[in-house]
Amino acid sequence: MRLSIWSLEWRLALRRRRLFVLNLLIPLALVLPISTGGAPAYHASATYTVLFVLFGTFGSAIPLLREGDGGLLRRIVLRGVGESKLIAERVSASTALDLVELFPALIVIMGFGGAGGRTWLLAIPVTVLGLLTANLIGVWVAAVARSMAEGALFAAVAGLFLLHGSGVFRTPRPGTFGAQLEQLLPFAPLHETLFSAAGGGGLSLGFEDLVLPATAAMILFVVTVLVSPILIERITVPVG
Amino acid sequence: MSPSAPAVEARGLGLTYPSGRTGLEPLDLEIDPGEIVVILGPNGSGKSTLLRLLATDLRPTRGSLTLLGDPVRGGLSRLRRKIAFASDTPVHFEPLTGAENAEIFQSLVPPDEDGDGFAVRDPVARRLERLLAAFELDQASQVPVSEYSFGMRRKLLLVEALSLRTRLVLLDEPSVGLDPAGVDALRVEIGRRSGEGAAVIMASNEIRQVPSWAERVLFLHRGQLIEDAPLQRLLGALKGRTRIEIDLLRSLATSPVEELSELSGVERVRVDPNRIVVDSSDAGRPLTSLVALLVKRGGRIRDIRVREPGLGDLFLTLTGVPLEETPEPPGGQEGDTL
Repeated sequence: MRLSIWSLEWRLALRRRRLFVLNLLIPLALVLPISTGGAPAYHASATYTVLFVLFGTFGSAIPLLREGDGGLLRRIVLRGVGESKLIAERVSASTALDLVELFPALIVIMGFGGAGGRTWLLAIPVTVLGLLTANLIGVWVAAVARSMAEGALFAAVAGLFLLHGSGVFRTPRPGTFGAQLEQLLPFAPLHETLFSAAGGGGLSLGFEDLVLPATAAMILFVVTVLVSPILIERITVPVG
Repeated sequence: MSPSAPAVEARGLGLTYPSGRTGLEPLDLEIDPGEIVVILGPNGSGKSTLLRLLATDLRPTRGSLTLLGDPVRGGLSRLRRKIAFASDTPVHFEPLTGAENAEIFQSLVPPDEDGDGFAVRDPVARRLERLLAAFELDQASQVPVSEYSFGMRRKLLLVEALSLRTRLVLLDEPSVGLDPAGVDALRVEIGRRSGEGAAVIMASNEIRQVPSWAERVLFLHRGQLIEDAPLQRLLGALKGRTRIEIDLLRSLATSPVEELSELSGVERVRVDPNRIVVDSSDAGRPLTSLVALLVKRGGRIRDIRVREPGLGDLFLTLTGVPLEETPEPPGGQEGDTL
């Protein structure tokens, strides 16, 4: 299998050195004072989860909008790259890049929060799951938005809305629709893990608890790839 | 695709934009492999629309289109790999060098599927190297595209399109932004691609150089195909004809169209406020009587030009609209025509 779009994304990210360094430093600059400042785990973990999710949605939506507007996406598609391949590889590459850029921040959170062994074990899979979902949402946001400003607004609103649904800002009562929804949303395990990592106590989450959110993320991935020709058409909007 | 299949086969192909504006009136078109075709027309005539339809960038709202033997419908990725398209806007990955950009657009799709295994004389790397040198980009090929001028970006776009082993090459306004060396390289490379069996279709409103490379000319006007003929036949129709342009210091009090039209050898007269344009089938003969008549009518002559008419003049005759943006004659523009 030829991963031309995946390798192109990495090549571009590493060439934009300033942006890459900023993407490493900005999360650290936010996380360090919170981790070392003795913020309560509940507030700290909410901030971290918002940071991670918006990092993913913005990082996916804004470049797509920029390249769609500038004509680069259209050029790639007209070269014969299938829309599904373009989206699948781009989202995967962007998720992997986000993970690399957020990794130092994640280490700081867990290091200063005194995270336990289970938290360390689950941190990477739940972060990947959360970032993958955020990146997929970014693609949909780019397809709906008609400008960068709209993209930023929609990415923030969609991310925050789903974070609310994931129980990041409040704990839903057991048995309610909110509680059931929370089990499905991939941001919930990310929040729970970051809560534990921030010193909020031992992690009760197990790998079996990731099955539902992972399935939801995979369904979103498959649907996004299946409708990618429509999404790309909307993002690139041929002039005329 | 069988090598004998037409590169382009359009039947009643047309496009209406969602706004209701007609982009292209239904047209029939067949272009063979190896043919070099230029589409001429002023801005908004439908040149780019036709080219984008052939590039599968736009979907036709009427008619059918078959490219390289494959009907254009549904999944287009495989077909698109057989088409090289350079639009009128040079878009690149700005942080990457020119060479990297060219290499990326080569390697985005698998080489074995690229152009149906179309035979070319030189391998990818050597072809890119040769093209970068031909367009004088070899020195700048290791520099990020963000540092390129507009002309260099245009050249890189052409290098990328001409380096692909495709059977169909579509170039929108290929000579725009090029220096004379670039235009010369473009002419050579278009000839080379044609020699390799690729159909090359260009859209342009430049009438001095680009059409002279083509074997066939399409005139588009307001979305309509108004002429489709071999270049030699069009030029043959202009042979022995003369265009006389007389600039006046002041416009005449009354229109001299009728009197001028009655002069021997005069075929067509166009009078703008300060300019008289006369087409003649008899080189030079009407000049003296033209000048005499204008002087008699009180005209003060500033300049006289006598030349052979070209494709632009033919387009003007067919449509009444200039093909290229022409400088506005002193004192106004459109006048009466007979």
